[in-house]
This record gives sequence, structure tokens and C-alpha cells, in this order.
Amino acid sequence: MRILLLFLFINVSFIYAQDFRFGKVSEEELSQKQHSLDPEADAAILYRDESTRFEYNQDTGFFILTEVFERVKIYNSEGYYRATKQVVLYQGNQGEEEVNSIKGVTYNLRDGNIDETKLKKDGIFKEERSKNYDILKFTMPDIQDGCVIEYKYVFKTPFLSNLNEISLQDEIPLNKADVRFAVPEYFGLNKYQKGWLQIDVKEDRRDRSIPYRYRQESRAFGGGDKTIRTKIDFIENIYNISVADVPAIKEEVYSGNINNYKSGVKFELSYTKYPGEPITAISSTWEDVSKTIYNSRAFGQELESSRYYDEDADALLDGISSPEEKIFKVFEFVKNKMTWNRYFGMYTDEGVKEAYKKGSGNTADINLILVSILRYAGVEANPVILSTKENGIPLFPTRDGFNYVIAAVELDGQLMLMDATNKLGEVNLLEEELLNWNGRLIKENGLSSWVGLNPKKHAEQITMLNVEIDEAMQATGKVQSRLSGNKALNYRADMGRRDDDEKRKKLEEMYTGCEIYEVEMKNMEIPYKPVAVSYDFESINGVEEIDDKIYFSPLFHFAVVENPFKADERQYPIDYNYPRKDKYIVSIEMPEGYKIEYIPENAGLTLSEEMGTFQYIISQVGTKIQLSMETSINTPLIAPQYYEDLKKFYDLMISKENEKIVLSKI
Amino acid sequence: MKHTLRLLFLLLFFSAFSQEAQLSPLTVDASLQENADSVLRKEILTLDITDPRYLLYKNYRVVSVYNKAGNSDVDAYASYDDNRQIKSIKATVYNVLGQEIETFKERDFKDVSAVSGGSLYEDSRVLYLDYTPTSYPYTVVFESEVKSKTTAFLPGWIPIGDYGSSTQFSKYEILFNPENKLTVKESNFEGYDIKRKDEPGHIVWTAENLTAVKKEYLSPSFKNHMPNLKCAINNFQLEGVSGDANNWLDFGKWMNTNLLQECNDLPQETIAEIKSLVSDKPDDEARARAVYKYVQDKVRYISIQVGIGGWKPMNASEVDRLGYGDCKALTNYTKNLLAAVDVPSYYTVLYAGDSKKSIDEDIVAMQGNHVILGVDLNDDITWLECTSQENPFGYLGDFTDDREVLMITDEGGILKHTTKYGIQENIESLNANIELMSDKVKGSFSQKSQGIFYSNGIGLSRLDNKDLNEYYLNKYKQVNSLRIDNINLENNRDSVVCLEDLTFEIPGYITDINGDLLLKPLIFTGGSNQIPPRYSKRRTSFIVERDLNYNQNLTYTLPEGYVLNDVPQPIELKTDFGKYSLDFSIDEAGRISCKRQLLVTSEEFEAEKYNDYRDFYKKISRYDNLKVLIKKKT
Repeated sequence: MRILLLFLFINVSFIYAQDFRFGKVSEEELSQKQHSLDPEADAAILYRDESTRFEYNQDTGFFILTEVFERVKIYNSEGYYRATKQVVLYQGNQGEEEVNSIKGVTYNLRDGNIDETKLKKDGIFKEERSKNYDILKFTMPDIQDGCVIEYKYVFKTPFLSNLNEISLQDEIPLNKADVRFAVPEYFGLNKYQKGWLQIDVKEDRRDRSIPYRYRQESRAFGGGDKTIRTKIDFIENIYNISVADVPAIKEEVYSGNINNYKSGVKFELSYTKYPGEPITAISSTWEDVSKTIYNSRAFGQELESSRYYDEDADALLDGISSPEEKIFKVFEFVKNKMTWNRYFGMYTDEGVKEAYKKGSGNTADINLILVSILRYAGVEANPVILSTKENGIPLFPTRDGFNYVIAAVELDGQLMLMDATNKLGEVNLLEEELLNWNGRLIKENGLSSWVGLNPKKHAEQITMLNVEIDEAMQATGKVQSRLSGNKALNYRADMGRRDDDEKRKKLEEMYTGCEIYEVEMKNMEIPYKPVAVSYDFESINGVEEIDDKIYFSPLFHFAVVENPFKADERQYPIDYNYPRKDKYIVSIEMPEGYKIEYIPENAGLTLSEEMGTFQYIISQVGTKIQLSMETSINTPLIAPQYYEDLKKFYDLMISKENEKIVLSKI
Repeated sequence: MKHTLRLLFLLLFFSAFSQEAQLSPLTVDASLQENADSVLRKEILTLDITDPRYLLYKNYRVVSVYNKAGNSDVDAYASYDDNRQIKSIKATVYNVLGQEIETFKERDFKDVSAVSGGSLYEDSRVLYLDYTPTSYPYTVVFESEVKSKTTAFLPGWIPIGDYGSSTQFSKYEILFNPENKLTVKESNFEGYDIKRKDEPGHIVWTAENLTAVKKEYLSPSFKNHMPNLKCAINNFQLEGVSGDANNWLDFGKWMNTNLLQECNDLPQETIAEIKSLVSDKPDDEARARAVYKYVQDKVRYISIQVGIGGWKPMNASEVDRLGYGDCKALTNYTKNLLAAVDVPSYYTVLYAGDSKKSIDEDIVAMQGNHVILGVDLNDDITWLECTSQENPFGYLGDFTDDREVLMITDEGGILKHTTKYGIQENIESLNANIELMSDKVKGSFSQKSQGIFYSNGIGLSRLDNKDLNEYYLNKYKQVNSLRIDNINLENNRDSVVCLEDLTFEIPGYITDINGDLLLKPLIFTGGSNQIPPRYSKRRTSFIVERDLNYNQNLTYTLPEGYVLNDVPQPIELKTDFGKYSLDFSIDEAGRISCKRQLLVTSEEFEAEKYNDYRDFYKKISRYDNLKVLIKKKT
């Protein structure tokens, strides 16, 4: 019995023992037809090893080397894209990043033999993208369904303060990853984790030394200088992370930036302490990060000078004393004066003076000018740094977590947020791309705090619909809508650039099944006022006659037909960006000689904790049918556990909206 | 003295004023501003090929931009690489009054690599003007001069820029050696104010006041309809290699000798391997099929364009080793493998894209943007798309179908036409058996895609189950609460047919009205974007590229005790744009059968016909959304 057990044990371990050294790809890995845990995966990372260490060059100082090794299984042609790898290499004043020692092999199983094809120079390319960065690319040879590829390279960077995130989850399954991060005692580190994956970091330390040489003047007569070779001993702190069987991350609708949920680890330098020197803090808390940013030349200092605009500002503010009026005046002034060059950034690009002169600049150029003029006007204004949706939520206190800056004024306990890069922007009305949880407000003394970016007020659309059905069973009517908040902002951005005929065409695209005439859109370029839209319409298929009876949905083309939530399950929160409300007030004149045979019942729906509500009230008033309907989403971010409820909420709402009224002859 | 001074001052003022007036966007004639986001105020293109080894290309353009959409019409950029050198480049921006705002010298232009989306690597680069307009309108004056070692194709002239842009003045001037014959082709010049002046070795065209057009739904390709000039010279250079373009035969021969021949270096082992692979195949077609499958299993598409490699395929031996290549490399590789088993085939150049474009027969020069392979089988050409790992043997799809192409044979270039898929081939037919219940429907459907529709099927086979499910929910998004199950795809590559089978259930699809059941029988049609957009006044003609045949046959089983009393009348619409029919019938068992057919006719139609075209689809939408009332038997 004992022997048998031992036998079994040996057998099992034989099957699972995998050799993760470069070149030791097994026949078993090659013959695998699908991933054992995710049979639909097109490819999988069988193994990833990432090892980072600091090295020293006497001329240029410390730099970081990361050795990357990956073994990837490719199951089918949809996974072929994994055979091409791209690494972005930045260049800056401190030097440039490099990739060296690239080695790659593709393994195929042919007639029971493992066939190896090496990656050669002709598969490696360096694209000089722009003056700021290159892209190193390589593509593996001889890629077949079922092949395994291995590659390794060494990434070198002089940018100590900008360490890349170590990803522990991918769009394909990750079977096993080992990460090692070694750092000399001179550097203090912060470690951050994100995603749901349980990540254990094992710490270790060892003695290490780096060679060092210096020249010594000889005291002896005629001796000359000589080079002394020595070494510096120090302690190296080592962090080890191992993960196994990490499932692939998958996209979902309304989930914002999926990277927010991807498991990973990030290291960032918090301080340096070189031998014989005091500690220099870099950043370790949100406070520190904010302070470091504020103290940068291209940030805080840019707020100091007022000379480049003072004459304009004096003229603008002449005779105005109310702080509110000052704020609006200055905001409008900067919005009109400056045009955004479409570049993001929380640091100024050309500098505020040059940008002001040219009338254009990046986000920091423009909004720091705004903060500066507001302060000049005597208002307590401060910058708020934030991260755009695209950039992801800043989960850890790191400087590169932010990529945008806006202005904030505190007035009578109320916070006013402003972004002057958007010509149609309003106070406390930011574009959706910026509504990414919290921003960090930084005061002149360097103190900072979180401020919420998502609007509290509902963005509303209120629509009045007056419809008549004539003897020919043709429904015609008038529509008047008013939009506010982000709904108005989106509408202005989308419709504003269209001419009259295109506006009409766009409306016909949005509300299919009708022809639209006499479109009028008001306040399209006047922020703070609701967008007012009106038009006449003629329904194409809205009314149907079967057996002398008339069938129609009282909402006509406004009835929502498609449920955005189709998947059965949901992993990530549903992100609506801002609370919203849609209201319809419908009045339908019945054709002469008809009476109501069937009218839908009134209905009300409430999503758990009032996160969403729906109300449908319909009645007959003389020859008219009147409907009042309101849908609102009150919580911009809904947790995934409510997904099923939300999907059902939409289903019920849609079927209610499409329910038909039936009229029959008197 | 005083007088003269004043006069001088006035003169100065006046000349300055007129210079500004020229550049001010305000001075443009109103007719040119209509429909225009930008106006090309002045354009002078000069091509100097008096020395056929080089092309000296000067571009001077003044563009006034009226709004954001016009920014992309500024076109202030120049490309370069080892064989193209930018001699000079500069730009100046003027404000609404024609006053200078900013000047850009060569170093102020952004220098970036020109790797396009689908490519892994290309060695060409581009200098472009990165200017943020601070107000509209504004004017940009751009000048560049490029010296290129390629005269195998010459920049043509389309004096009106693009949809949404009009032209005040444009000049195209070509200087050449009269002994080196120049071929020119003018298309669609009628109705425009275009003048031509000929001198020995020097031709000048000028165009004035060309008004802007807006892009509309189904507008034909811009270049096919606007005035368009193409040029080619007889004795040309391609990145330093010279050749003659007397006719297509000679040109093809030149391509074969200079670009293709030396890439035929398939290793002996591979030749032996492929020979043994086809040894038991009875005929050329069977051998060609085996070779095509071998290629599809072995290689993948990766685009790399370096130097003359932009024109010349990668060697067959390299593709053999690396297992990847671009269209040229993979086509040449397949050609070599076929040659090894004695099946003749030809490297074929064409314009790819779903709107059809042909090689222009009249201009013997480098043309095209893609390469496929023509296999000589039974005195006919079978076309192979070598970049696809999934296409069936001989299947092209809408990327390369029905157009003139240039086939390179050992004897030289020959123009051929690729496969046209007609109404007999392009069939999408859907059959469904549906059980009607008091509040829902459920059933199964089976769809068959052939001809041009087949390529949709190829795409589907790539999706995993979850994505496939979402694909159907999105395709039939007008159907609320639709549930799809048991999806089964069958891709029959031999007969080039795709089959999709699935079952579905739609809770809430039936509305109960006082005990009767309201049903929209055509579940899978009547989607929201069926009706073409409406234009107050349609200006451009419209083109329907392919004949299509859509068939549907739905059979409903009714619940016990229900009956359809009023069977809708058969419907038939016949127009120039196609035919539509809808037929209902009831069999002995009380089942309702609903047959719908839509035949789409391909043609280019005049703008005046657009409203009729739209009416046709409006009617179809109405019939597709038709409802019937199923009554409870009393």
C-alpha cells in the first residue's frame, strides 16, 4: 500500500513537473490542444519571469535592468498576435531606455520531434516613433497552431522614478509568473497592488557589492596619479512574488477602463538615502506625491508670474467686486482666449507664458493659466490633478497616476470645478472622460485633499411630445426637448459641428422610424443654458391597422428597443459616469370615431436602494391619451452584484415602453 | 515732397493690404464656401522629370479653413525615406484678416515614422505641421520640395481636394524630356473650368472655381467622379532601377525581371517536401489545392515594408524560414511552391478594398496596393488570396472581387478581371421553425451564406461562444429579451458555404390583446437602420456594388385553439433597385408559413433616383414590421 502511494505520487509529480528554464519546452506543452482551465483561450502565458535589479555606472549613476522571459502557448490563429511583442522606449534628458540581448525561439511539434526556429535580426525592428520615444518590435518565426514561443530580453532604464507596473494578469490566461524585484538599501520603496488577485510578496535581503574606482594622487615624488579599484558593499532588499493560474481578463460594456481591474503590482521609489547623505523623500503618500508635483517647475512655478496677463486681467476685472462674477468672467475669458492643442498633461508643455502668447496649449498650460488668473483676481483657486478614464483610476500614490489638471475654487463651502480646455464647458460640468472618481486638490502650501469629480446633480432630458393620428392612420407630431448637464454637453459636442441638414439626418438616425422636419436647436453655444431642441415628425411605421383596429406605442420613436446589457454575468461595476434622468410628457389626439380598446397599465419600478427608478403613468383625458414617463439612474457607479437586477430593470422598462395601445371603431 | 511721401505711404499700405486680402478667408467667393469646410485658395504642383532618374516635386498650397472639420484639408506634410529627400519645407499661418500669426521652418515640423496601422514596420517617415488653430477661419501657406528616385508612378492631380472642400485655383505643371514619352489621362474634366497648355516638354493644366461636394450615403468613390489627371513616363526609375513602360507586356516583363525573378529561391528541401506532398494528386487542381493548404497552414500575414521591399517581395527562402510575410511575399512564395510541382501561376497586382477599383489600363505605370495569385487551371485563372489562412481555394470575397488586375507572366504583363459574384452566388437564406406560445415564441433557425455572404461566415468561426452569443444579440438588437442557445457553425470550404444553426427563445414577444395574440412574424428583419438616410436634396449619384439575394422562410406552429383568420395579402414590389416579395400561407395543420425575398440590383444610379430608392426601403420596412392578430377560436 505504501509503495503504491509512493508510486502514485511519483507519477503525479512527473506529469506536473515543468521545467521553466529557457529552451526546456516539453512535448506535453506542445501537444496541448486547449487550455485546461479556459478551453476558449486563443493563447496562454505558460510562464513569465521578470527580474529587476539596480546597477551602477560611475559616469551616469544608477540605472535599472529588468530581465523578462516569457513562454507562450499559441492555440490557434486568433492567438498569433501574441507572437509579436512591442516595447515602448522613452528618451529624455536623463538618457534613454534600451532593450538588449533579445533571444527568441519558436517550438513546433513535427512528426513527434520538437522543431526549433530561432528569432534572428530580420525579425527585430526599431521604429523611431517621434523625438520622445521609439518602439522596439520583434515577431517570432514559424508560428503554427499549437506552437510554443519563448523569448527573453533585458530592458534598461535610467528613469528610476518611473517604474513600470508589473502586470500579473493578461487578456489571455497566465499559468505561472515569478517576479523578483531587488533594490539597494539606498532606495526606499512603496509597493502597491491592484485587482482581486491575492498577491503575496516575500521579502528577503542579501549582501551585494558593486565595483568602484577612483584616482588617487600619489604623494611620492614622481609617482603620478593612480587608479584605486575597490568596491562598495551594501544590502539589497529583494521582493519575490509568485502567482499561478490567473484567468484572462475580459471586456464588458459600461465598465470604463478595464485596466482598473487588472491584477498587478507596482513599485515606486519613496526616498533615496545615499551613504553619507540625508534622506531625500520622493513620494510615499498622496500628500507627498501632491507636494512633489506642486513643486515641479512645470507646475507650481507656473502659477507664480502674473506679468504676462496682468494688463488683460486688469481690464477684464475692472469694477467687478463680486467673487462669483470674477470667477465666471475669468473662466469665460480663459476659455475664449485659449485653444486646447489636444495634448494631455498635468505639466505645462511650452510654459504658460508662451502658451498665453500663442493662444494654445496643453491641458496644464491652459488650466494653470486659469488658476493663476483666478488667484490674481483675489479668488481662492487651486489646481486639481486627476487621471482621465483612459489613464485609469489612480490607485496608488504615484506621480504618473495622474495625467490632467483642472481648476477648483472654493466659495461659501461649495467647490467649483473648471476645465477651460473645453469651450462649451461650465463650472462643475466636466467632460465624461474626466469623471473618474476623485481628483487631488493641491493648495499653495502644498497641502492636498481628495475632491469628488462625479456630478451630484442629474443630467436631464425632458421631452414633450404632441401627436395626432389622422384618418389615413398617419401619426404626426411636435417634439420639444430640453437637455442639461452632461447630456447637454454631449449633445453640443455632437450636434454643434453639423449643418442643418446633417442635424436633421442625425436625429433621424437616432430616432429611427420617423421623418423629421423644421429642426431648431437653441443655446447650442451658450453654456449654462439648457439645450432646447424642437422639431416636427412624421412616423413611418408607428401606427398599424389590423382588422379595423389601430395599434401603436404611445412613445413612438422614443421607445428604447435595445437592452445594453446582454451578457448573463458581470464581473465589474457598471459605470454611468453621472446621474441621469429622462422624462417624457406625451399627449396623443385620437382619430375621430375611435375609442380605446386597450390601454397599458400604469407601472413603477425601483432598482435596489433607489439606484434607478422608472415610472409610467397613462390615462385618457377626453379625446386625448396622456402619458408621463420618467426613468432615472441615481447612482453613477453600480456594483456588479446588482447586475441581474439592472438587466431585468431594462428588460421590463423596454417591454413597457413598447407596449401598444389599441383603438377600435366606435 | 510731402505729396510723394503720402503717395508712397498709400502705395505701401495698398500693396500690404492686397497681400493680406489675398490671404484672408473673407475674400473667398460665397459659392465656393457653400458646403465647404475649407477652400483650397491656390495650389501649384510642379513635377520636374526632365532627368528621368529623379522626380523633383514642388508643392505650394494655400488653404483657408472655416471650421474644425476643415483642419484635415490643410495637408501640410511631406514623406521621406532613403530614396526620397525633403529639400525644403515650410509653412505660415495667417489669421482671418490675412495677417501672419506664426511661421514654421523645417525644424518646427513634427518628425514621425509613417508606420501605418496594419504594418509591423516601414522605413518611411513623415514631416508634418502640428498647428492648433486658435480661431476660425484661418489660412495656411505651405511649401515643400521633394526629390525622389522613383518615377515609376507620378503624383496625379485631383484639383478638388476631397468631400467638403472647394478649390479656387489649382495648377499642375509637368516638365519632361520630349524624347521620353509622357502619357496623360484626363478623366471627368467635362463641366469644369480646366485649361491645358502644351509646349514641347512642358504641359500645364489649370483649374478654377470648383465647388465642394458633401459625402452622402452610398456616394461613389471620390476619385472616380471628380476631375482626375494621371501621368506616366515611358522610361522610368523605381528607387534607382530603370525600366520602360511602352505597354503592359513590357512593363510586366520589367517587373518580372527586376522585382520578382531573384526572389525565386525556394530551398531544395522544401521543393522535395512539396513534391512528395502532391505526388499522389491526380491533376493540377488537386496539386494546387494541396499547395494552397500547405501555405495556409504554414504562414501568417505580417507587413514589413523596407526600401525597395515596398515593391519587391521578400525572398521565397526567407518566407520559408520565417513563416510570415506580406501579400507580396506570401503570393510569391505560393507561386514558387506551385512552380515546384509544375502548376503555372502568376503574381497579380490590383487595388484591394470593398469598393471596387480597377487598374487603369491607359496608364502604364506602377499601380495597385495589393497582390494576389492567379493559378492557370484548365485554361482559366483561379484566384488565390495568399494572405488569408481561412479562405477556401479560389474564394476572393469583397476585398478583391470583380475588377481589372495586372497579371505578371514570364511573357509580360496581362490585364485580367477577377471573379464577379452575381445574384446566383450571393445568397443568404434563413429557415426557421417557430413555436408560438401565449406570451413568447421559441424555435430554431438555420442560415446559409454563399457567394459574397460567405466571408461573414468566416469571421464568425473566429469568435468564442460568448462573443458569438453577443454577435447574435447585437445583430438582432431590436428583439428585446432574445435568448440564443445551441449555436452550431459549419464552414464548408469545399462548397464555399457557411451554415449557422441555433435555437432561440423570446419571452414577451407576443402581446396579449384581450385574449388575442399580436405577432410580428418577421422576427429577424425590420431592424432600425433599414431605411437609407434622407437628404433634403441629394447631390451625388449613388452606387450599389453587388447583386444580393436575401431569402427567409419562417414557419409558425400556433397554440391549440388559436387561428389566423385574416391572412395578409401577398406583397410584391418591383423597382430598378431590386425586388421584394412577402407571402403568407396556411397549411392543413394550421401552420403559418411566411416567405420573404429581397433581391438587390447592383448599379450606379443618378442622384434624382435617390428618393425612389429610399421609398423602396421605406416600404420594405413597413412590410417587414407588419403584424398579424392570431385569434382565439370561439
